[in-house]
Amino acid sequence: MSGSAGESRPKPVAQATPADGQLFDEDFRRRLERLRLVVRRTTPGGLHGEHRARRRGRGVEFSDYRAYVPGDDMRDVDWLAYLRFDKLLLRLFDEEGDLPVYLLLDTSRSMATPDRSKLDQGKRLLAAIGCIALGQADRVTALAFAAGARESLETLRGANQTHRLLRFLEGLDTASGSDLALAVRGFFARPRRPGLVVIASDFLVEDGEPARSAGLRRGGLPGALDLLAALRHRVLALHLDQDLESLRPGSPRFEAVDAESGERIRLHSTAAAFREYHRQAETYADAVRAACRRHGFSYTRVSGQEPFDEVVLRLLRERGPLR
Amino acid sequence: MSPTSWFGISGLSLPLLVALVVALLYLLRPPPPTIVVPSVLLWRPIAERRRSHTLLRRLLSALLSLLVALGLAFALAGPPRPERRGAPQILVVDNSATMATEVAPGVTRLDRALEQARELVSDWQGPTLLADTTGGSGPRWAHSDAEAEAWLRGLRTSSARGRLPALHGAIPGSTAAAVRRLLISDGVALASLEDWQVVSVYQPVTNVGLLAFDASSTSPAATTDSIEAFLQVFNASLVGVTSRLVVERAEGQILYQRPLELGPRETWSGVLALPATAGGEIVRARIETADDALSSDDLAAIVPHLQRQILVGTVGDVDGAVGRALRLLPRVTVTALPADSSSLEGPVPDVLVAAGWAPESSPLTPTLLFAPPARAWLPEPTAQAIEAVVWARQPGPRDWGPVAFGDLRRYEPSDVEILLGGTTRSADDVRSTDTEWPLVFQLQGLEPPVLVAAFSVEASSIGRHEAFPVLVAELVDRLAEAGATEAGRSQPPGHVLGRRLSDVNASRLPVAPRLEATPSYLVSAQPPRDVREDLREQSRRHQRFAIAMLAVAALLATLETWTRAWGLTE
Repeated sequence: MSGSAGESRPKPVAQATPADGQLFDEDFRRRLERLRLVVRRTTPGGLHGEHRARRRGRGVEFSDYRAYVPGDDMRDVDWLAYLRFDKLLLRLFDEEGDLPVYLLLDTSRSMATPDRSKLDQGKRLLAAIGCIALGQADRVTALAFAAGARESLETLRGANQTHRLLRFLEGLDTASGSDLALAVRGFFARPRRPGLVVIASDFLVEDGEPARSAGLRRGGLPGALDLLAALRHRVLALHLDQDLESLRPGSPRFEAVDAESGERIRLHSTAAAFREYHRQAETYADAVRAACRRHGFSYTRVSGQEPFDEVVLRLLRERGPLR
Repeated sequence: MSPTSWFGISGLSLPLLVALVVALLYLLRPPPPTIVVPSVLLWRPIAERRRSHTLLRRLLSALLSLLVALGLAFALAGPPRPERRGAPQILVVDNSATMATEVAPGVTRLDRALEQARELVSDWQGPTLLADTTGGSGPRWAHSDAEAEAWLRGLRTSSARGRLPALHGAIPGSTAAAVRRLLISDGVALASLEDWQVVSVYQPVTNVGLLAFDASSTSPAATTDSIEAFLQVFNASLVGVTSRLVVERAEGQILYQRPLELGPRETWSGVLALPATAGGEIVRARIETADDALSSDDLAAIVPHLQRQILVGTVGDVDGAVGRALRLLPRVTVTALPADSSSLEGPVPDVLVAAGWAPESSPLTPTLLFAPPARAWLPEPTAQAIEAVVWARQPGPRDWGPVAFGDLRRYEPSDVEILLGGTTRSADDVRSTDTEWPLVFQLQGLEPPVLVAAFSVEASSIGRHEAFPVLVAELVDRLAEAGATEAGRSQPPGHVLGRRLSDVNASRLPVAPRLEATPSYLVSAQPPRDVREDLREQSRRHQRFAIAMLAVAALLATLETWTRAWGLTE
């Protein structure tokens, strides 16, 4: 618990990718702890674990009275008020509630192509956000999705559950294609309290609105966002971006093979082609951002090489505490 | 230079080969590497946009690659050359008399010419047609250095007049335009040299020689009359030279001598009155010059003509061209004889000339016939003329004379002015020849000699030829001379023409007419060039061409790279 903000500031260097199973090593945990301290100091109170729930219930802080209606719990009746006013009034208290945080990690093959930087970055970011949430006594649920919901880690609560979250994320690997809408529908088919849904993905999904609006043919994000909005969830979309240089081959010609569908396209490794690719990527990202903005959701574009703690701090500065 | 040989039938091989190689390399190019990408979602529109011009891009790329390869191939192959591999060349070596001029102790111009010829043959990829300028060594194809060496080793200088041989039919018409024609010469005047390249072996030397020497007695009494001699001396040097002229008998008795101071290229001519000599005695003319480089033109010899009246008996219709020619001869007395006269009265003619008639048996008098004789006394059908002589107009005291000897087949009809004799002529040839050339045959095995002119004076245009009287005079003169001496009668068949024409040749000096000069003197539609300089220039041109082609190839390669970088080509 020592050190200033300057000391706790992570070095802006590319993160070394640990070997499988060692993603959350000691260095990560130290940086995560520093991040917690920085978050606690820079956002006093706001990031403190407790959140005032909107619904009124069994809290300790009085809020209001209301008339009794059949079915109300008789234990909430203010009998003193009944004696004074001869009316059945219920005492209402603001319930001190936790915030459900749903961490959705895209584990389709595109996340680990051509390297695992996007997948690892997603894991780090979700781990950091999850740890912060657990430190605030929020409920954290994690989901790995690909073509659908793959596996989940149901409700964690309390900072002592951090290791479970990290172990869960650490054990995830990629599989098959990606369908966010299907995953969201499957995961939220059972009743879940509205909360914060953090989606870490490259959003390279076929047949979705973002793709169509960008002149492309894929997406899958709009359906998922519509469903989440309808369920009164708030969404933080972490768009994990691909480093263009990692795609540039040494040969003047190359055949691009889709990591998920296996589709092949012959291309030339020309500067013009990569400029065009860059334009396409920007257009696509704009389309994803627009889809998020349409529901008032947050959108952040993250490079696979960016230090995760800097990303989290940037998130907190831009959108405020996790609420 | 002829048009480029790249695009000839055989020359297409280079571009086709390069195109084939490029196409093969294009087809066999390794497949592009496979790269697994997160998604082709963002690549697909790029590929679809490019797909609309894929064929054009591929063609452009292949075309640029082909042009680069062609540029490199042409840079290596060199500029288009008319002497494409396998094409023939004609190499004529001047072997006229002046080529015997010594340019260094023991080294003649001919030696230098042979050195050049060996180099030119060795450097040439195709066959070489070798020929000389005097016809002594007939044209011969050399397909190897050894064959050329054998021909060159046998080449000698000749006293005959040098001229470019007619080789029109030697080269196939289809390749004639590409044939390189080379003449190695010392600069002696030759005929037209259009399209010929000249390798000059000329080096200035000191040379004074006899151009002309003729002598004849001034009266029929050869033993008592004086002799009149005509001499012509020429200084072929580029500087003034002092020489000494001597005319002497065979045994060395000097008949005349005098110093001569001749300027550069100056000619001296003179008519000398010499003491009488015995008939048949040889008279020599000699020119003595210090450091004279050519000895063959320093000495000339002649047997002075006997000047006496010749009685010519004519039989038949000789009032035409033959009659007129006979009457022009100053020493000839003509008497007409009846055709059927077997015992004549009066003096026996020295020569019989018969036109339109021939005796039934071999005559006892040297005879010139202008009609086919009876077959009964004709020679064997396989009889051959001994000698064939080409006459042509020549400068000097005699307008007409023999200019070359040897195989008549080397001479084109246009070269022949007057032809004496024939190559292989049988009796049937004599009877049936219809040539316009005045063929005159000596019938073999007959004593006294009989000459048969194988043409009809009246039917042919030869009677109107300006040299016809000279021809008749020569023939009559020699027949008379042969019949007048026992020696002449005892000589083997063929001596009439042979000895006589040999004498004539002896009087025709080996280098006349002759002029030595720098190669620029040569008469040619094109300025004479030294082919070695041509070869050097060709090498320089090759280098420039190779650099240009490499630059073009580099430029195209750069362009191809740029177009690839810009995504314009596949």
